[in-house]
Amino acid sequence: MIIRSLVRRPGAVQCLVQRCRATPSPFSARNLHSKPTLDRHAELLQNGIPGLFTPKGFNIAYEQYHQHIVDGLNEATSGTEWENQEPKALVVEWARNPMTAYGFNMASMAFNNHFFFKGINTDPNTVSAPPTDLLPEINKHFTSLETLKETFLATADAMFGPGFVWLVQQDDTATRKLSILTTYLAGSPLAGAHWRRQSHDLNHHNADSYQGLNPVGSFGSAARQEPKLKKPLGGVDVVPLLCVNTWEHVWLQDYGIGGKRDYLEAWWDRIDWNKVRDNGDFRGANVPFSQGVRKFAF
Amino acid sequence: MIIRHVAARGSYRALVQNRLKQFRRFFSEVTSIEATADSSVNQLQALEGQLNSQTAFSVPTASPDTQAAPLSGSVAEQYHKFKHLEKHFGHLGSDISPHYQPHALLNNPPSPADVTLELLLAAEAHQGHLTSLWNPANARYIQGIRQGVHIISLEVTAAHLRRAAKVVQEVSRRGGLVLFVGTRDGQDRAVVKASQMAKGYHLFERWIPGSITNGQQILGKCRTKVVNEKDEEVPGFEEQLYDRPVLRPDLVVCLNPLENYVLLHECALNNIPTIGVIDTNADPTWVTYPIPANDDSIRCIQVIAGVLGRAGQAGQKQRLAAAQQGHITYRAARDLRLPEEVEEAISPEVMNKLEEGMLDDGNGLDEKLDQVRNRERSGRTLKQMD
Repeated sequence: MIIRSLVRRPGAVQCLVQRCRATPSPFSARNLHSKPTLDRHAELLQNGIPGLFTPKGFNIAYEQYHQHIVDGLNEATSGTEWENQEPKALVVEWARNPMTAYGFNMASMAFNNHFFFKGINTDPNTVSAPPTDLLPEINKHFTSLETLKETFLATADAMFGPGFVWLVQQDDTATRKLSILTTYLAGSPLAGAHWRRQSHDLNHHNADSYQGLNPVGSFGSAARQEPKLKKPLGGVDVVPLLCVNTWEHVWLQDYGIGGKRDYLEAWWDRIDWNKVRDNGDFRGANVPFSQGVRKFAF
Repeated sequence: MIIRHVAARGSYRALVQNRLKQFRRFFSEVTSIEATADSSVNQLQALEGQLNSQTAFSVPTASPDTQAAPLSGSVAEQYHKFKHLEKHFGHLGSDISPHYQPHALLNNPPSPADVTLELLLAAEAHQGHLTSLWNPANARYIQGIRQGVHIISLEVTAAHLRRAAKVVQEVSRRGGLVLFVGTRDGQDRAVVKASQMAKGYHLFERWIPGSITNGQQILGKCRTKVVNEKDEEVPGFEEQLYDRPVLRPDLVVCLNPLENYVLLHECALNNIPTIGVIDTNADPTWVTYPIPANDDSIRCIQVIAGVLGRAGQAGQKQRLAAAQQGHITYRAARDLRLPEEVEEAISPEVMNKLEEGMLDDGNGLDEKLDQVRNRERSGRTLKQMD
């Protein structure tokens, strides 16, 4: 019973049979989610992303796939109390409960895919290179940009199956360390959705190794726990800066079955490093966040 | 220490490169953040082991960098971080079409220029009552009948709302006291917000009968203050204020006239203009400026109160801007003497000259208005305490 209801999406069987995904059911509210547009969207539709995606590849990776995800999101939310919520809020809300796994998957893929495409530099005239205030931080945590590139791309290449690889900044005030995080399938790096971070492929674990991952029940002074960042309620432990989408549909059209490594190399040259710097906090160690920030008017 | 660091760094790079080549083919396990830290620590410890075995002296051990520093401490900092994340990541994933957000009508109400028929329709301002419950005096405001209820014409509603907004704006511009009244459940937030914007007064509990007609008794102990043209309080008038009559509103906005007959009647007796939301079963003659709309819908009340509050806000802004330029838009209070001149007891003519910018019309209406306003004064005398 449980397996059946986990598998079945609301209206999935009917939709498969009648192909009614595009048409809303008569009793549901209007569909509020729509696919967002990117910078220079018209050019991207025409020319793709030069150096990364052909027009057909971009069409599959973003236009068709993101529309598919947004349709699923509408299906999961329209007519419910969640219909006006943003995908990020839905990710955090639905991460814990397995019964809401479908909605979580849709919201998380919408967030991750949009994050990926926003992090790409779509201007064909500019060369992607990290700005000068970002390089010292990269060198501090990864010894050099080349090492970061090698580690990042090797991690992404080694992942078996679809997922995302993220460059994240941790939130401790002392170092604000940069690190690489993998999320399989629709896993999310957001702090409130750690139940579905999915940073490990459980197929590579047996019962003993899984014990090391699963912290359920380990509390108290006798438990051997590595010291973790003390996160306040609602606080954030990692901030995502950059991600690459390693789902096959993204690169299959343009790079072929064996072209994952080529795709990753091409993507690295199209990163928008200014967005990376803006997403994170690179003002220096132990500088409080509120310094230099204008007062908010209430 | 130096040898260890150089060796570690150089070897780490070599190790990483070596392992990376293995990664691609054989090693499909992908490490998380903690495992990456662990593996680098393991490599460091393995290297220390090698160096210890090969060199004569023992290499000091490096402590693993797992003691994570605490997160940004203060609440203000966490809030700023939250705002930063909301700004950069909050909207990602999909675009959500505009929709009704209940808090928006209270936190950011529409202004008179934003009043459209669509807004009023969405706020259900057109819904009247059963046809058998109507007041025939409202016939001019009714569009028709649907499903047994009267439908108020939204063009009429919009026109009357705009007129009422103009009245509120002008009274505020002239420095008048505006009182917003809404005593039904759920009207309190709208009333308070409107009065805050218009710098007026609010009432959401029961109106105490006689607060105007018997004001000296009921409100006599309330504190009054003297403000200059820039709304700054001027101290030193306490003794003179003790003698003065109690204040009355210059305009009353009532959001549920059906329950506030006494208030509206008192206002009418004392020539105080009133604005009211008139439903199909209410009496439009109770108020000076009716707004035919649905008083049972809280959303409609929030729209109307918000619009009138915004109009008051605009009037206040005009008044203060004029005061900055030195032009005072109202008549100053009569019979008030500046504190330092009470001792000198200068003549009232000189006192009047000091109050600049008065709008005097020559037919002596001002004195008559003063007499009317001060009629209640005789009930109280100042006890001379020597």
